[in-house]
Amino acid sequence: MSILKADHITIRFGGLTAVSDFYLDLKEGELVGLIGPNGAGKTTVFNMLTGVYKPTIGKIYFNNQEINIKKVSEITALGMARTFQNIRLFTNLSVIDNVMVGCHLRLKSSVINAVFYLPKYVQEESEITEEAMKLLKEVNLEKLESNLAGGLPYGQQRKLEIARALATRPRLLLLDEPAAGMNPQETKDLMSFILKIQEKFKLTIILIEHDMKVIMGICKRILVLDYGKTIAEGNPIEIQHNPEVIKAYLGVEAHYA
Amino acid sequence: MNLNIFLQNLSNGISLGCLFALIAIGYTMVYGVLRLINFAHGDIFMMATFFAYYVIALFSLPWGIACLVAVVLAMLLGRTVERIAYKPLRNAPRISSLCSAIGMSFLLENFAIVVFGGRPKAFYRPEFFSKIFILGGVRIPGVNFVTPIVSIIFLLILTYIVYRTKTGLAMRAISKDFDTAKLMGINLDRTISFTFILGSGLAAIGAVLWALRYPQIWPFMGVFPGWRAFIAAIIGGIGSIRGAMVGGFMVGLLTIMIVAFMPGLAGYKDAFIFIILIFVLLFKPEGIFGEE
Amino acid sequence: MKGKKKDYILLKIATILIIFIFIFIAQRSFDAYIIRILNLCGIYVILGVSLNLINGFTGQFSLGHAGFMAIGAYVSALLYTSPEIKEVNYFITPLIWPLNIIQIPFIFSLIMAGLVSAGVGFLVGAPCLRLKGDYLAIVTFGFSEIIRVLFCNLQNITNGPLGLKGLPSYTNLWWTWGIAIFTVWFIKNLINSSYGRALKSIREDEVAAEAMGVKLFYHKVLSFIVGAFFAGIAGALLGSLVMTIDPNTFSFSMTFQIIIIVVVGGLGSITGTVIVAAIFAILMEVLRSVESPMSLFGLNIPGIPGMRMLLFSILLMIVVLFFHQGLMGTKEWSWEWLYKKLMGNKKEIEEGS
Repeated sequence: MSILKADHITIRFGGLTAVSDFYLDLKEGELVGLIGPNGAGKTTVFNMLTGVYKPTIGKIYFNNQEINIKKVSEITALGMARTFQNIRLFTNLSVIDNVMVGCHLRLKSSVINAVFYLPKYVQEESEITEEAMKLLKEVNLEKLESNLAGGLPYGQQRKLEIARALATRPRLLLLDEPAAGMNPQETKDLMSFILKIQEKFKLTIILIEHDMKVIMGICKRILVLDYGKTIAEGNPIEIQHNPEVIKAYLGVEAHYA
Repeated sequence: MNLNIFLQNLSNGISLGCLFALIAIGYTMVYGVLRLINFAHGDIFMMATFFAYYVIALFSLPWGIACLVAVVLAMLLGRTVERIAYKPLRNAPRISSLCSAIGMSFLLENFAIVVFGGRPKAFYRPEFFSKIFILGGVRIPGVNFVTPIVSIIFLLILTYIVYRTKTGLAMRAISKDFDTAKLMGINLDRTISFTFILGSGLAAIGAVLWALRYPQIWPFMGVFPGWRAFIAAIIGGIGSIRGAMVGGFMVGLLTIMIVAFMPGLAGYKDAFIFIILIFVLLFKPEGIFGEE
Repeated sequence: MKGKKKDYILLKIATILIIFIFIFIAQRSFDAYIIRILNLCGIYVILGVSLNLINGFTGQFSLGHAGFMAIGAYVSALLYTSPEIKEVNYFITPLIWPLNIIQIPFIFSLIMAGLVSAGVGFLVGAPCLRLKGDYLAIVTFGFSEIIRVLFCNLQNITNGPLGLKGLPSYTNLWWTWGIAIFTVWFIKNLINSSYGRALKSIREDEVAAEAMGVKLFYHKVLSFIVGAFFAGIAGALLGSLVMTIDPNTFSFSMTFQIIIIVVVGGLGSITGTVIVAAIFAILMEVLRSVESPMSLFGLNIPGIPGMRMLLFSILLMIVVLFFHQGLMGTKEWSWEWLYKKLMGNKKEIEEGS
């Protein structure tokens, strides 16, 4: 079942074409990798999918709904969540508050209910708290729940960002370089973590990564971008031996398993 | 309205427009390099008039010297404000800089109240400026001749500095890309100081010309021209010197013309300018000339 | 707050009772001058906390608070003043119908003041909230000025620059402190709720907040509406306290005073705002003496007008430059803290307030 379809989307900023003719038909449950040299347009693709940018040409369908014209928060409500290349946590909020913000979109109680602590709101608040704690347990951060997010070490901040995204109960999760800055052990943990949450939360995942160990290790399908164009698509073996891909990465040591 | 009255108003509008242009440039240059609205700029304008006033009152120096001294002192003041209130907060969140700018503005105003007194003072005005010349039925005060000429001279000097000198190049580089300019070895502090000095100097010239037009000075006199000049800078495109000049003229003309053509709405003229501001910010925030 | 929650109910009830008794005694027997200062404390608390909601917690830099106050002041005054007093005031241009014959009880006029102000808050907020930082500040300032100019000119509604005089004095400590307590309670609950987290997330990182499903428009407008609501009520209370309304009091100067309170108290702390608001109100009155001549050690020191605001300006600059966290930063009062202090740290208490 096709969960996301990016139908030949192109985006231009003034005279610069950042991404051209990007096509992706994503089936439910897939774990797809999006790779390419720096500046290839990978994050721009994410920004188009999540609604931060509107494609100049082309349409995007999420669960068969056209989402081009929708606002970012609306798209998140439909079930698409993301993490950011440069971590964007709510630094002055506590760890658990960060995650609970992700739950806010499901809140049914009105502002008045919340301010006057009416039973309906109290119930929802405790559910949110419970869910947030469960997610923190998934990423081993439950003991640090009242710490300020900004004070966490880098690796834990990355995990918190993922937990926050999961709080929105997405069906599709976009991870933007989650392994950046991690050592080999942390990277291994991250790989099994991604597979675990995919299974547990029934996610479809698109993963942008530079670390080829991660990509080749867990992605079944990989798209390669260069200068805004898709230059290759296939499974890890095909991609590793694709001459175009090797050319694009020439001069850059590619590590893969 | 007959032609004579129209021409009189036009002459006033042009004159006023020049003044706003001179002040607006200060706002736009500072925004260009620091992305900061220097709320205190209008108060430096105010202080310049008081500098001139006191030089005359205390030292009985000739009027011309007093103005020169006022301009120099204003430049120093501008540089000092930058050092005290803006430099320490360059890496702080924007809200801090905003608060600092507002705080500095109020500080100068209240300082003036305490030190100079709140009552308006009469600025010494040589006779030429208030003398009315009659050209073919049109009555034009002397100041309306001097203002555009002096303004244009200094605007040309400014344009030369910004576009033909190394420091001007540095200013433009910083306003295009702050971080890269830093990496290119541009002395940030010196260039930013220079920007403030330049802007304050122009504002001081505008202040003197303003006082020759409306020879009453008091601590809050910078508020009205300050906001008008600021709005002019926004309309013209904040960050663009050309924009500040054009915007200044437009606002000056508008201010006079609204009162001239619709005297019944004169009480609302302050509101008009803010309505225009809001429209520009909502629909074309880059202003006329966009970001330079 | 997470897990077991100790409510400190007794402590809270005790505090309320003490305040109750205090107001009762004060309203009866304190000097009128002191009562006025206490009233101003309450009003500034309402103003500070409501502005902090917009500027501090949601991170939207609004400079239009005086405008909301003005609306509240006029709306309520026009509603609770008797037709006779209105006729005396509007001697140049008569007040329009039906305002010239309406008179409703004070409390309803307060509610209307808040609602109209909130409505304007919506009108101001809705188009402007996609503007960033500086621009939002300018636009909100612009609105405030437009409102001021309008009120100065609409003779047949607001009596123009003459303002309103001889208003009945309804404001007393019950109203000001009662509403102040309600405001603090309301906004504190809002901040601590899921909506409050959403507001704070907008302050922290708007892009990330939106990506997590927080509707930016809805929440920014929410903070404006609530902030404007309470600012309007504060304006109404102020009007009845000083018994006159002059359109020029609601100028940028007024907004600036509240900005000082909020910044010095700590942009993210309700407690800080409350403390500084009260101190500010007291200092503003007490320091008036600095501005009038006084005799010190037999020397006659002439009054220096404007010294108050100069000192406050310097204070603001010092805070902004050196203590930009303000008094409390983002820390809040906690009942737990009070309990510990009173009980001498005897019991180990796990959870916070």
